[in-house]
Amino acid sequence: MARQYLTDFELMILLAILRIGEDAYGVPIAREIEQTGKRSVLLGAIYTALDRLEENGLVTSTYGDPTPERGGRAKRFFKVTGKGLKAVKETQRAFTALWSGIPQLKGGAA
Amino acid sequence: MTRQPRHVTFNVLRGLGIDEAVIGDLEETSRTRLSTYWFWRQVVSVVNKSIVGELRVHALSVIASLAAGWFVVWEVAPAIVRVTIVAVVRSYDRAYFQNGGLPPLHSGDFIWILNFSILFFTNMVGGFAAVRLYNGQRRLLAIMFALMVVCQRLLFFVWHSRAYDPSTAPLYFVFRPSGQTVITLIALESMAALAGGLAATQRRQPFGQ
Repeated sequence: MARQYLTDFELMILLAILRIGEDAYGVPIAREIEQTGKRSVLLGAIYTALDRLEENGLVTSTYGDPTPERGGRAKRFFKVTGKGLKAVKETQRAFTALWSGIPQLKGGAA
Repeated sequence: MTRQPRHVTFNVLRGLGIDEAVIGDLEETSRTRLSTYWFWRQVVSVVNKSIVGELRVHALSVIASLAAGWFVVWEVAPAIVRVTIVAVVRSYDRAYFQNGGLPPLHSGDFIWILNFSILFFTNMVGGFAAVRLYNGQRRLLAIMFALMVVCQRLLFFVWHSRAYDPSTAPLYFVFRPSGQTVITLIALESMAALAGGLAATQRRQPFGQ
């Protein structure tokens, strides 16, 4: 089977989950991408990607307890699986290999 | 933006069968972000995600139900309407002769009201049929059907407004009737389709309960 690399948005989501740790649910994931990635994100887009990642076995999700600041609604916590971690590493390796040997990218930001 | 419309929106989203965790995230974030534009962008993205998800999971069922809805709009409902029109026109003719060969009062409005009623009825019945046949998230299908009505009507008006004149421009558009009427028609038809669809989502109560 051909190896599938992650899209940039999927990679950002997986990295955000890994950075946040135990408390990774929709809101902190969106905040992390907005702050670190300097881009605005839509919750719908995040959950579409998360559902796809879960279908592929790269993340797992569990529902927490309902909290009053969310109108009594539960949080859905996400965790990166071993397969997800492997996919992140493979994608990083592929990007690094593509990066190396490009003269225009040497010596800091263009 | 006040809290009340957002609260109503959260309830509508819940009614559409959208994941409680997603609505919770939206509610939590919207406590600190007050921009109306930001809020509605998020709502549209969440609804869009649910529609796409529904299409991915029940693609065949969605297509079959929407096709059935369109069949009703184009074939079944007009047949029912035709019978009504015959009866209405006969009564109009009677009134015409009783009025000494003059058109009855308000007969100009009458044609418009009749046309709007037909459009309203056919789309409502189509929406009802489509949603009734569907077994997934029925409210999402009602929205899909209403959106299809909007797209189909827009295409219809654009297609029938095209004109061709080689002496001036290769292709241009002449919008008749006026834009205001077109918008009214599209709004009316899509609202009718949505109303019919939402009516079909109501559970039927068994007799004697």
